Amino acid sequence: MKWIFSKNNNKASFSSIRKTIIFCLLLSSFFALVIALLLTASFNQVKNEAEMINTAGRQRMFSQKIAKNIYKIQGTHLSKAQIVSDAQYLDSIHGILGRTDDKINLVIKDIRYGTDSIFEKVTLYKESLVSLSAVTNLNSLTEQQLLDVDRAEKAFLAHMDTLVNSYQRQHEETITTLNYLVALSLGLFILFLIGLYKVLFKPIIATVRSSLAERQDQVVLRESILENTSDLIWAVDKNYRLMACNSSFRNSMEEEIGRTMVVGENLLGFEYKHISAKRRKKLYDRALSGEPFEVELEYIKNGRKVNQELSFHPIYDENNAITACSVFGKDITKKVKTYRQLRKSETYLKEAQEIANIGNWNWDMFKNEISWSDQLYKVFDRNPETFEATYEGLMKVIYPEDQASFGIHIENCLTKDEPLDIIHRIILTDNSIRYVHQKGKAYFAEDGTPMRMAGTIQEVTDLEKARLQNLKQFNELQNFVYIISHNVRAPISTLQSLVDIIEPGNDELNAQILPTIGTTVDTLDQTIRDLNDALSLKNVDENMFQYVNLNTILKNIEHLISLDIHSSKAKIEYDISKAPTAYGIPSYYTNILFNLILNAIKYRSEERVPHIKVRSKPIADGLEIYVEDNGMGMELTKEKRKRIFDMYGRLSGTSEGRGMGLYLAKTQIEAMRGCIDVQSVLGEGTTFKLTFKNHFFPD
Amino acid sequence: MSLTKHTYNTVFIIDDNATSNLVHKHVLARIAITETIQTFTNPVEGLDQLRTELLDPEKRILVLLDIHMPEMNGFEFLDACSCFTEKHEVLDILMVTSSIDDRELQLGTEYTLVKKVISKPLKGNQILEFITQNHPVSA
Repeated sequence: MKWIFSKNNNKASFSSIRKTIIFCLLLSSFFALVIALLLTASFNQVKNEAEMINTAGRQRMFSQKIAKNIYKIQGTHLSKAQIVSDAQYLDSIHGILGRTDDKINLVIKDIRYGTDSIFEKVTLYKESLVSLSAVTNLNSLTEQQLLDVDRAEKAFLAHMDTLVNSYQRQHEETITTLNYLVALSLGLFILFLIGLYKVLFKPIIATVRSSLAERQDQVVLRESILENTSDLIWAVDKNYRLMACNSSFRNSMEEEIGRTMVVGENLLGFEYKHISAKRRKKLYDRALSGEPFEVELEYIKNGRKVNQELSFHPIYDENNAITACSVFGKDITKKVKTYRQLRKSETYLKEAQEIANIGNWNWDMFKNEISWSDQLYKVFDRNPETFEATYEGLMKVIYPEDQASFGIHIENCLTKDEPLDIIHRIILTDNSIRYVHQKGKAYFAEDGTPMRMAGTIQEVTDLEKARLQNLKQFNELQNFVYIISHNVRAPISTLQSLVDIIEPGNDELNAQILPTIGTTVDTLDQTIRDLNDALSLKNVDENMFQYVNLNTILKNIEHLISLDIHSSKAKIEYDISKAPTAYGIPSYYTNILFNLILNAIKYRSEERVPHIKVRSKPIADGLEIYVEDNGMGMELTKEKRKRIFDMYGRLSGTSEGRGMGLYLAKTQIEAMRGCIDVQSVLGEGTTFKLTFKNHFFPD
Repeated sequence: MSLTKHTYNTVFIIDDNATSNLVHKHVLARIAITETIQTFTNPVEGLDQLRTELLDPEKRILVLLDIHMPEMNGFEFLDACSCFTEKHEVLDILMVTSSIDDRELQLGTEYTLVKKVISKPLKGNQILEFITQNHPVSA
């Protein structure tokens, strides 16, 4: 039935079910009506036939009575009135028997058993009987007449019997037919009902059953949604009575008030320490007046601060009248805490930016949006209200001479993924100049197009001014070095030559003084040379670095100090096969190792033959060089450790030496991005360790 | 070491500092490698004289050349001498400088005519050593 089922959802709406049921009832009523009509018609016929038989019997009786009475009155003066009335009666009802074409015979007309012809004959005999009884001299009939009466009566009876029999048979047939008819109708009706059940009721039942099950599922689901949450959910009616609640609410309240809450309980009727009854009433009233709203509560529970958010919603019935309100209680302690922490760290960040005078920015290229931190506006001395933070706006702030360079840096950052790192000048609103240091990075989509850039901008005016000051001083220093190496050195060298040439003659005093002048001038010269070395090597360029073969360096050194080795009988051992190549400036390595080896010989122990080991060892991104001796050693305090590498920081007053060697070595090591460390035990020996990192070795 | 007074026909000492010239003259006199020593405080004059002397192809000449001089510095002097490069057999130029600037000392050695760069103070031995290394025949 398409009223009930649409193929899509197989579900019946209740109105369609009602329609179907009404239709079924109508159909079955109609069916029942038809059957009832049929049965009524059949019963009427049966009744008629019975009446016929009955009538026939009565006619038979009347005919006998008439004949008997005729015989009785013969020869007497008895009244013939009885006979006449009987004959009249017989005649009057005789017609009934002939009403064969009546409507009630409709059903069984075809199966009549010749009653018509019998009736015609019997009518003839009836006529003769009636006419005979109507003669005036009924009391004195002739022999012939009596014979006729007898004959007519007998013939009437005989034919009447036949008619009755015939009716009888017909009646039996009718009853049998009726039986069949009743059985057939019943069967059909049952079939109809079964059909109805199969076709209509069964699907309806199934539909109703499934929709009931679905509804049940929905209920369970809804319940579990309400139950499977730590949120408190409850509903309150207009009299502040609890209508429904989930177990979270029940448990929470049980914990708070120490007993189980029951549905129907007045929610204002107990003490709840976190919200007063008065306030509770106010909140419920507000929701019950039709306003949905949220409130946040903060209270102390078990010594901990708890934040709770309550949302109230009015509940409407189908007439749109407020009947109750529902409340959701959510624990937002974590959220509030996180929010507060966020606020705190935002504040810290802001403070940090203020203190460092550093701002940050983010440039979203897809949205073409640039966002600046508050401090950035301060760095740029611009008003956040009026200044538009755009690339063009930024360009206008940048000092004109620096704009091109800044543009190139940004472009390199976006096209070559180079980090942005630039110090440039900006013009403040009062036209003064400020230095800022920009650092930034671009972020790219998978296809390599830049998506956004982010960076920091710090005010570095003081630093930059200091740097420029330093640069100026450095240049002055270079100038000073130049003066030393030329203007100061020239007269000293002349003096040295003069001392060389001069002859003391015979003067004894001169002979004593002249060599002293010589050594003094030599010392002065050496100092000037040291100073020059110390100052000029600060100016090292990484482009001067090259691969250095340590073996060659050590051979050169051995050659240079061969006299010292010979006189001290020192034994020098090399182990540099594991890392034979260093990176830097060859003359520096020569000087460094020369000084360290010479030192090892100089500070040898008188008690044993000097034994010096020079080792090199590869490390992750460079190498380490050790110069180890078995010399005097020393007790290294923190102070001494520092002083040992100072200019003119000799540790021992007894030994010779200018105190420049270690200072120069350290300066040169540091110029090649390395570092030097010393370990020593008094009376046992000293080890210098040189570490060079970030060396670029070929594979 | 048997050097004759004729190792060089003439020696030029070119230095703007007169004292320095005097000192060097004495140093040279002691080691007696020439009979003629000419000193110039103005390198331009020295250059003119050198040109004249070089006209004689037989003359063996030693030049002691300072670097820092007001009229013409040592390198400018050498640039001007570049046309005498083919004379390197007979012309020895020693740069004698008070400078201890490595770059300057290095720069000097790059000239073909410059046989050695010597840092002041100049010692007689340094010249003798140079001669024995470069002119074993005359030594």
